[in-house]
Amino acid sequence: MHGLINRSIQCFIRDAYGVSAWQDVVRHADLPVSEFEAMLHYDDGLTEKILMGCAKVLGRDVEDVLEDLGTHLVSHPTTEPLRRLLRFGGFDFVDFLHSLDELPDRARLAVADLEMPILSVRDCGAGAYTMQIRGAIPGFGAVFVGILRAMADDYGALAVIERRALGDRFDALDVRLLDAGFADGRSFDLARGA
Amino acid sequence: MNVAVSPAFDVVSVNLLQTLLPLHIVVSDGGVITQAGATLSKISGDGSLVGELFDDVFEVIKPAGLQGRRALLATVGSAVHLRFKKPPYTRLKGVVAVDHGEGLTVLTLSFGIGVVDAVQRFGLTSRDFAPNDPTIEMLYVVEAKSAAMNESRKLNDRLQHAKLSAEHDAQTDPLTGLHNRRALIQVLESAISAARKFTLIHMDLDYFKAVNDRLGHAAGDAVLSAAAGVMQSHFRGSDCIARTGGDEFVAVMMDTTDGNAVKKLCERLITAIEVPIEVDTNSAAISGSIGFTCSAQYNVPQIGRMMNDADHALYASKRGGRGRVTQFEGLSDEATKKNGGLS
Repeated sequence: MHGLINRSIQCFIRDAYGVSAWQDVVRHADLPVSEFEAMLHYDDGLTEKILMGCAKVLGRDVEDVLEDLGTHLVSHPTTEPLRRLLRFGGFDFVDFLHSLDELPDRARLAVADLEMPILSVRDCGAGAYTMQIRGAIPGFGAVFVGILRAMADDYGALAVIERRALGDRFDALDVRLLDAGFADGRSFDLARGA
Repeated sequence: MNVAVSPAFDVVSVNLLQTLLPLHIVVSDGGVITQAGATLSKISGDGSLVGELFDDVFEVIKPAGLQGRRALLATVGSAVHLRFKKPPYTRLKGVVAVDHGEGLTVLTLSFGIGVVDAVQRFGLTSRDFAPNDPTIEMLYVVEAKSAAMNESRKLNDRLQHAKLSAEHDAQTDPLTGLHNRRALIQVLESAISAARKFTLIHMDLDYFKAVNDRLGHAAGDAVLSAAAGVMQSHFRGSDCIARTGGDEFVAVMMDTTDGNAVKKLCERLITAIEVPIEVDTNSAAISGSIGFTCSAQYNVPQIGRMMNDADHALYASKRGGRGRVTQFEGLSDEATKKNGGLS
């Protein structure tokens, strides 16, 4: 498993619940290392072990943890580079939804060896969209619920996002866009640090 | 939007150019800019370029030697490089097409490699580029790669730090902070391979075992640390001081060959070491015996041999009553040969 994924989980727990919570996860899950490096690779089974540890320490379902992780990836100051990369996908939220088809290709351009789930987006008309996610790790669907909710906020769009499990590591997300210009959203300059 | 409909272009053509080429200009037969794309107008500072003379606005950089509309006509179909004559002085590159019927020259431009700076400088958005223009994707790749590079650099920094700290640990005696035997050997090897002169000093603490037996190992450790501190204050920063065994120390004095000066220094060191060391409420009195040898005493200095010789001199000091300094006075290599290989 790519270190970026394990590292993201670690940073999420650290930023949202504190360093001691992460140390509890390391202890509970009996992890071989206490810090994950974003640019290294780790055993595949480790990611699920980390997630089980998080669920246990936080007393929550793994899926809830994953959803919050998705939100954190877009909305926390420490993950601003990722938010910016996602915002390159579209001028507005609808544009962004359509760009998700090419998200695995975009991710590969950034980090060539990052394994991403297969995504497909369908425009069902009248502001309804369905996105299918088939991932290497169970739970990618839940992460995307968090990501899409946070990105809708980011664009200032009002949207309802619900997840349906279609099978093992196979989810559908139903997106209903209620108001594309609901709020101002956060700014995005093409130039970094502008 | 600074769109002036040129009398010679119908509305469809103007819309076409505006939609497809936000960085274009149209130049009339007389060299007047009759139309400019919205993005080009946005960056040109004064606003619309329309109505200005091409020559007043742009300097032609390539092809060299030609200016104005003549330069444009000479480059039809191939690349032309321009620069704004006034602020923002931005460089642009483009390609020229000519409508001979109407006598109009169409020039479509791009920022080339300067696009990253241009986006920042002019606050451009994705709407300033045509939707089919891969510039936005290029900006994405630039940013994604620098984010990934940044992570890699941080990892490299951490690994470098860990490596240095591991190297330091591997060469340090944890109790005294002096070098260990491994570091000492490295210093000697590099001194010999660089043919530098040096003096090798071997010191063994006297009466240390009695301190250990009487006051315990913790007190013994405190005495060793104190002795190490005394040694550090007597040698130069450039000298290597190592703890090579329980109460054995070796110092290497670089570029030092004066046996008398070394002997005096070592005698001062012993005097300092004999000052009783306070450990808790007890007082520990030790001394030191020293033997040394100088690389100049050998035709071909060898680490093992010099260590042995310094050791012999040290034991001569011990036999002589401890608390004293002896220089090795064996035969040099040359003398050994002359004497039939005996030393």
